[in-house]
Amino acid sequence: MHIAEGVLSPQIILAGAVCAGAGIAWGLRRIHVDDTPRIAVLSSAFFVASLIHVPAGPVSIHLVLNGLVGIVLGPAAFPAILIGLLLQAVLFGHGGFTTLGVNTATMASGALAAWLIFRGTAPLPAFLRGALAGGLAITVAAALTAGALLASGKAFWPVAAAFGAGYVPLAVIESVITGFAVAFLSQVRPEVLPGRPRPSIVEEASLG
Amino acid sequence: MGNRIAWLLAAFMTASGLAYAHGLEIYATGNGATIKGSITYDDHEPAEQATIQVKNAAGELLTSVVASETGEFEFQALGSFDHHLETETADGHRAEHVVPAAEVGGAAAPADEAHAHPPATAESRDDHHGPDAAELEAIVARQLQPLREELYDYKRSVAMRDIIGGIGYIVGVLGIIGYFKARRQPSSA
Repeated sequence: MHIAEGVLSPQIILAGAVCAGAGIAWGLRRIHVDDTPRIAVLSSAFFVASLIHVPAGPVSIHLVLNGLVGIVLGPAAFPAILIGLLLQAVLFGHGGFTTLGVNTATMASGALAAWLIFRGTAPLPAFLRGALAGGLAITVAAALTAGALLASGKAFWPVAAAFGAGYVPLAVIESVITGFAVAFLSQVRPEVLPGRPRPSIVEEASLG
Repeated sequence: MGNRIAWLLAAFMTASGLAYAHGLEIYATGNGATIKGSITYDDHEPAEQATIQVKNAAGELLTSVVASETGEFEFQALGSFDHHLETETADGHRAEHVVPAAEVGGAAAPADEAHAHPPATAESRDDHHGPDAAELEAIVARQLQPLREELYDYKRSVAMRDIIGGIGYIVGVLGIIGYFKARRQPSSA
């Protein structure tokens, strides 16, 4: 899902940078100072997630966690994922620098899709909401990544094969992980999930 | 709570030894007349049957090699020059490696030997006092091979310091963002 340097055409790199830039500007405007610890935690989880490998037969896949990032952060997922991707490129050599825009756009779009679906499924139980959002986030990100590769002129069938069967196990695993995470959060810290009114500072103090 | 999850993830990975990132890498060495190597993801998963393109320094495609199911490949060196190996997988990974001219060109070595030591040809027909230069080179290359592979592995592994460093940067950047936000949006306190 992290596209490396020298793979995409310049037009796609530029398009990705523009989309990511717009998303990041939007996300930064909506951040409130009280959100910054939460953003730091989710960005760190995303950063570390790519080190966790998922055995998936012949394909080598790693966790992404963009669904969880999207559910908790909403539009702030764009800057959070950008920071995570930049550090993955610098410290882990994973992904590329010119492709930061495209990779941010694909993964943060998945995060945004997770946010929207989560907000739209309020009546369902927490685990199910998280699972749907987590699976959707991976599917959207994988589809956009495949789209970027195809638009750069790569052959259709190898790309389709890589992103088809290979990503089903990851989508399942991420659904489960996100479902558990959301279920846990809804019991312990429901105010970080969208749709719950945040208590004011006074109320939070009295809740201990 | 969220902190606990992030730390748990980091602790899990260091408990299982060095963690691996997910980049694609080509590792190849020249051994006189042949170039041998492997393509793997950083966690040592092989990139099965990936195609490697062999180019010269000018970027011209010379030949193409397909790796085995275990990601390994071997082919004849095409001359005494830098061989540029490149590969790309369908899911957007890319890797390159240059095999320097010094490692290939085994065909040239014996000729140089005869040139530099003409008297030795008489002696070498006698009883062997030890390995000749070409054999010595092969022995040393074989002995060095595991060390080079270990060094290569070490260079691409991810250590706890990278994880902690990254998390530190994230906390720092978010702190700076928070600072600027606080100046403009006085919090409700």
